Amino acid sequence: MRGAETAIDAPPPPGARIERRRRIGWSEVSLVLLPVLALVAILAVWQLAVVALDVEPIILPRPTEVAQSLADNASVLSSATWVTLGETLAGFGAAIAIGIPLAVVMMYSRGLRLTLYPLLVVAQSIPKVAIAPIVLIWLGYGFEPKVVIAFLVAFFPVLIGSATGLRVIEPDLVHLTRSLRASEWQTFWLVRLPSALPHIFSGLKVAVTLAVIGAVIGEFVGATNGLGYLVLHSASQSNTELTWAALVCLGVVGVGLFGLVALAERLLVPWADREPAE
Amino acid sequence: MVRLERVDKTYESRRGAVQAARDISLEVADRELVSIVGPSGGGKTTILKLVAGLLRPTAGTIWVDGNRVEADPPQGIGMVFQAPVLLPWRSALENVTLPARILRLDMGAARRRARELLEQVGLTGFNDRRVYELSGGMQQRISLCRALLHRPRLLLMDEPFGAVDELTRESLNDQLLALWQADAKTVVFVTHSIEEAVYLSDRVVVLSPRPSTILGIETIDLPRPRDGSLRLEPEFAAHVRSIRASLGLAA
Repeated sequence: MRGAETAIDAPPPPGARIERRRRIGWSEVSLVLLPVLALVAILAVWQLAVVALDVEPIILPRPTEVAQSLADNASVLSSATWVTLGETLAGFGAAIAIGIPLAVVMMYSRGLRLTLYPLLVVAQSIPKVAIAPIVLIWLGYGFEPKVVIAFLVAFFPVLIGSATGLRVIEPDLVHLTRSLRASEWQTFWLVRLPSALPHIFSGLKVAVTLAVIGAVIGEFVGATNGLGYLVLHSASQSNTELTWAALVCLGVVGVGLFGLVALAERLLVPWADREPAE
Repeated sequence: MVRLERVDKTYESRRGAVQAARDISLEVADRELVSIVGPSGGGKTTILKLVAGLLRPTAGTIWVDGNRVEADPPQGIGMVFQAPVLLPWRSALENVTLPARILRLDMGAARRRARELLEQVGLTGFNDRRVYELSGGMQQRISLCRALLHRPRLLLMDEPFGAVDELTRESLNDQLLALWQADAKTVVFVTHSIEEAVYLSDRVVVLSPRPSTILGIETIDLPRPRDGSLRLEPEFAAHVRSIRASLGLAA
C-alpha cells in the first residue's frame, strides 16, 4: 500500500516545479513581446503608406507627426489626461462602491432581487450616450456629469459580475461552514466574498474600460477640458495631429487602468482559471 | 451516538414531490464506523445531510449525541464532501485551521494540531503550499484533516473518495483507518463502492434506489487493524457477495 502511495501521489520533485515556472516566464515574455512587435509593424506600414501615397496630414498624419504633436503639446495633453483620468476613476470607484454592496444585498433579499433586477436590465438597455445630455442639463458642464456617466456605464458589469460570483458558490462550501455552526457574517467574509472574487474581477475589467468611454461621452456632450474635449476641439480646427495624439493618450489611460485591475486580480485571485494539478 | 427513528424526506419541486428516503431507522454506536451504500441518485447523501442538520426531515426524529437535531447542525461534527471544497486563497495549513477560526478556538494550538494532522496523512512540507497546486488526492487529504481539526465526536463523510482513482482511493482508505484507529470517533461514511464499505466498516447499511429504504445491514466482523491484503481474503469476498445479493446484483 505504502509503495503505491509514493508512486501515485508523491509530491512533485523540485525539478518539476522549476520547469513549470520557467515555461510560465517565457509565455509571459511572449505575451508582451508579440503585441509590441505587431504594433511596431503596424506603425511602420502606416508611416510608409502615408509617405508613399502622399496622404494629406489632415486626413491621416504620419506616426512621426503624431509623436511630434505629443511632444509639442505635452502640457495640454497631460492636463487633459489628468482630467479624464480623474473622471474615469471617480465613476469607476462609485460603480464599485455601489455595485458590490448592492449585489450582496440582492443575494440576501429575494424580494429586492425580484424587484430591482428587471428594472436594472431595462435601465441597462438604454444607451448611455442618449442619457448624457440629460445628465448635463442636470449637473452642468463640470466634473460631476462625466463622473455620473462613467458610473452609469461601469456600474452594470460590476453588479452582474458580483451577483454572479456570489451566486455560483459551491453549495458544499456553505454546508461546511454551516456544519460548523458559523454565523452568516462569518460565512460571508470567510467563504462567500472570497469565492466571488474571480467573477467580481471579470466585471471590474469590463467596467474600467467602459468607465473611460463614459467619461469621454460626457466630454463629447459638453466640456471645456479633458481628452474627449481635446479630440473634438482639435478635429474642428483641423489639427489632426493633436486629435491623434489625444487618442494615443486615451489608449494609454484605458490600457493602463485595465492593466492595474488585471494586476490587482493576479495578486488577489492567483487561483482564478487554474485547474488543480494532477 | 446517532439515532434515526422512522425518518422520511420528501423534496418539494415544481414538478411535484420526490421522496428521497423512506422510513429510515438506524442506530450508530459511539466509535462505530458505519457505511451507507446504495445506487447513485438514491437517498444516501440525503440521510447524511439530515444527520448533519443541513436538511430537515419531513417526518421522524434524529438524535446526535443524545440531542434532537432541530434547526441547527449538532455541535462537534466534522464533514468531508465528495469534492475537497478547499479555499484556494488559503494555504494548506490555513485550510485545515478553518474550523478553529469559525469556532474561535486558540489559533496557536490549532496550527500545531493542523501540522500534526497533515504529517499523519503524509503531507509534511506542504503546509504553506497553495492548495490549487496540489493533486486531487492531496486536496482530499487536506479536507480530511480539516474535518478532524476540532476533534469532532462525529465524522460525516459523503462519498469522500469517489472522485479519485482507485489506487489513490485505497491509500486514502488506509489513511482514514489509521486516523480512526489512533483517535476513534463515530464515522458515518457514504459510498457507492461496496468494496470500500466492507473494507472500512463495522457495519454496512444497504439502501434501495429512490425512495431509499434500508434493505439490510451487514455486520463486517473482519479483524482490525486491516490492510490491503484483506481485500483478497475469501471472507472479504463473502461480505461483498452478500451485499450485492441484497442489492439484487449478480453475485
